Amino acid sequence: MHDLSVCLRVRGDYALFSRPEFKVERVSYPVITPSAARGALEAVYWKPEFKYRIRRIGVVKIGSTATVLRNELGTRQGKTPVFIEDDRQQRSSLLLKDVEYLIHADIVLQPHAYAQANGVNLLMKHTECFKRRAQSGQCRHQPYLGTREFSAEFEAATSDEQPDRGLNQRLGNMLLDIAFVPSKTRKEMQFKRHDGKKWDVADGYMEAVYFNADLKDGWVDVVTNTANPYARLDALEGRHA
Amino acid sequence: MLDALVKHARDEEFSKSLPPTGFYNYSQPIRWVVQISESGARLEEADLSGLLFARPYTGRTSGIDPHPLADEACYALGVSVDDKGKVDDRAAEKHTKFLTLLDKMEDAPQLDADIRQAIAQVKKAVAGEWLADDARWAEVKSKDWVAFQVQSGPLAGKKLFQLPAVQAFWVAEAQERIAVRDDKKEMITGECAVCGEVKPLISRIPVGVKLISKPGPLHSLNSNAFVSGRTDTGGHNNLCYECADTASRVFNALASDKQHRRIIVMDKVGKQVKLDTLRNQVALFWVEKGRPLHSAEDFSFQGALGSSYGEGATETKASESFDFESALGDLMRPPVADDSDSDSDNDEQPKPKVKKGTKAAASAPAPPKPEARLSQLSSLLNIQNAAGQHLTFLDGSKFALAIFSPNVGRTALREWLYLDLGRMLPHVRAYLNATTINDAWGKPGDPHHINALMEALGSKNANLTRDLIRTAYEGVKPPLEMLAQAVQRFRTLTVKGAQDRKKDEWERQRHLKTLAAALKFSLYYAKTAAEGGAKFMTGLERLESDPAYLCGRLLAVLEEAQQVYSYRQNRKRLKTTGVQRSFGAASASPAGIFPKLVKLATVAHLPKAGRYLNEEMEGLVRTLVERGGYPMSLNVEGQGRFGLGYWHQRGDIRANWTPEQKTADEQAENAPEGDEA
Repeated sequence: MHDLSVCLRVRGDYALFSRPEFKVERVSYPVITPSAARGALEAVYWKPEFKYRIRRIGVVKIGSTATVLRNELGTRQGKTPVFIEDDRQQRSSLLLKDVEYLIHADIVLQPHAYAQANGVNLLMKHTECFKRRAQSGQCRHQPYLGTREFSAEFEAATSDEQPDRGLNQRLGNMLLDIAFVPSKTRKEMQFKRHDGKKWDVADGYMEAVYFNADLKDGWVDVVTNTANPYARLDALEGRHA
Repeated sequence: MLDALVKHARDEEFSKSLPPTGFYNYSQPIRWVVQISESGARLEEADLSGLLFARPYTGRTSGIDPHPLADEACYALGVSVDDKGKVDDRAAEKHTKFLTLLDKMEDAPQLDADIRQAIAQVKKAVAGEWLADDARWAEVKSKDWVAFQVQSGPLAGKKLFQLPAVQAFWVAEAQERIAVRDDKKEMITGECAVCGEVKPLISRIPVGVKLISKPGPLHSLNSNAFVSGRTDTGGHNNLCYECADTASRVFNALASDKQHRRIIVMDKVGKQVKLDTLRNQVALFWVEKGRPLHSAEDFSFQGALGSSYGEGATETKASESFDFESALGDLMRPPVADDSDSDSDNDEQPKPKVKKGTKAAASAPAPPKPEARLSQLSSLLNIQNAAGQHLTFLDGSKFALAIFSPNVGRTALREWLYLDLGRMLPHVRAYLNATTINDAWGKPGDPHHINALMEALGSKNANLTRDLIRTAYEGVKPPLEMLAQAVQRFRTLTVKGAQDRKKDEWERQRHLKTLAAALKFSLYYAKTAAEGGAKFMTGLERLESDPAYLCGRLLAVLEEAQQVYSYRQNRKRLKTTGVQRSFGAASASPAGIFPKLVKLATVAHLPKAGRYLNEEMEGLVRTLVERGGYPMSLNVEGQGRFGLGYWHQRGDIRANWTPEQKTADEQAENAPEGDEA
């Protein structure tokens, strides 16, 4: 049977998967988060018709930690020019060095994609597209490991490739992804949503969703037979709820 | 890291040192206790134990923020004048809010009928101005802390704010006060990043953490630098009240306990400490206890350590005097010359400020725990069977180590280790073994802690210190730069020669020994760790045939030949030998200088230096010739081995001196300085 999952191997000299509770003096999670893994996959291939759901993450090299100090801006750049000298802050980041991961994910089609399918097996189509692009090293932008400063090398992987089986660690609560929740009462931001017919701008807010991560024999299982943390994300976003 | 702190709060023994959730150990004591009866109330000055009371806390600054059943007199009693005669214009408003809070408490589901009745009595006492007729009323000042106590009923004699139900009310109330709210002022709920439960999320952590100087927030929060996981209301969107508060309380408890804190680097210029810079680094560490498989009574340190542990110590004393958790942290003890941890501003938990003229006085500090020695830890870990038993006892335990720096009001986490204790201990053993070396007289030495290595290297490089910490606890390869620095410094101090001032010479000798340990550690850590050898390269290794090591040994033999010759000729030992002149060249390019040195010694010194040294020299030269002669040049590693060979051989010669030689040496040391032969 044709395998409809996508696999990617990513590696990098440095990585920083910021913990949400430490966002200024940043501290990394010990392994890549599903959110960052999704970002790496989307850098290779992405269409609005589908989204990635990370099934599991294999840790080939867990790496070591290192601290760097950088001069950063205290504010985001916007329409008003920023005078750097007034807004410079020296910040510390606790990051990871020399990491490598295997990412296994499923492609989940958005409801509106079926309307334009015209009899094509979209799941197979997008899976094949991803594999072709990964094998030939094509990407929309260079994937990165957590933050854009730390770009990642990538290559296509197969589902039978193995991580470091000796790694076992309880990782605790880990960021799964950010849910974009439509809301009439908390209009903190706007984002695009497809209502089945057309794209529209919706008001709402972001909410971080977490899952209990466990590194067992080199694998972090995100979706298992008994638990699917994406269900809460879908419920918040009002999809498949 | 926050989840580990929260988890540590569940430790039964450790939790005794923590104030309850939502409470804080104030530096100002409670001064007054209002004793309330059915028909009246009177003011009573708090006894000494009032100093230690943790009280409700929300991080109040200039706002009006009443606390339940224990607060400043301006809140609790409406007193408006402070001890300097200054009038608080908002005292009435504060008192009204306090009474409103009491009203709210009466309706709270957490409180039972008895407490409600007690609250009603408090309201009656406060609102009915029963206290205005009290003889001591005039002494009450607006900033004095006041608590309430009822004299009859089931709650008699208990301070009301300490009742568990009142504490539960306060947790809910405090959470409500600092929760993030939406446009309609509704509390925002979400998953907490630490516990994962869906709860109201908070806008700030109420309790600041004290790392070096003034308290600051445990986590960093910039209003507009990052948008993800944040609301437009400017609040933090990832932590619940209980996790944030617990993490901060645990942090403060660890930071105020010298058994769990080590200062890695203190940013000092002269005697002045810059408290708020990133150069400062403080380590907090703790052991998260796992599932005990054997009872603690099964294991005896005395039994495990045998005669190597505390000469003549009884078993009870030995067990009491070894704090295993603290000993693990002793790898990071402050250096001898810079015991920054003893600075007054880094003292134990802040002592309550006691007002003059009150009964209150500072409670006597707890007697300090006896220091654990690295050699004790090393002995323990090197006894395989005992260590195995100990590891079994510690099954599932974790060792947590966090290194923090202050950064202009923020707290930065610079390093975070969270390791299985069972897996970590072999690394600690390898580190201890790798830094153990015989002293200059060939006597067995103790392991060296990390800061001693850094002090001997003359380095304040915090990155290098953290790398060494990783090596010690995680078993990663020692940093390469350490070897280069150790080689250079060892050469400098050796060439410098004996110092006239006793203190300087003592320091030089101490550093030389530590540097020799640093050389051994850098060169042979992997081998020591792999072989688990406590004795490997600790003293002279006669089977080691590395040419650089042999050259170092040869130089020590030639130096000793010169000393013996000088003594026999002039009854004086030299203060400055040929080694000082030739150590640099001999360690960098042995082929260029050793033939000359050997020739000189053969002609001038060795004929009168005795049989032992002649045989040693001949043996070394023979082995060197077999190994291809003197090396033309030595790289940094070679120079390290050279230094180590020199140190080992010199110690070995001294250790094997005959009594006659020892007597001669003692006489020579007392004799006036001689000239170089």
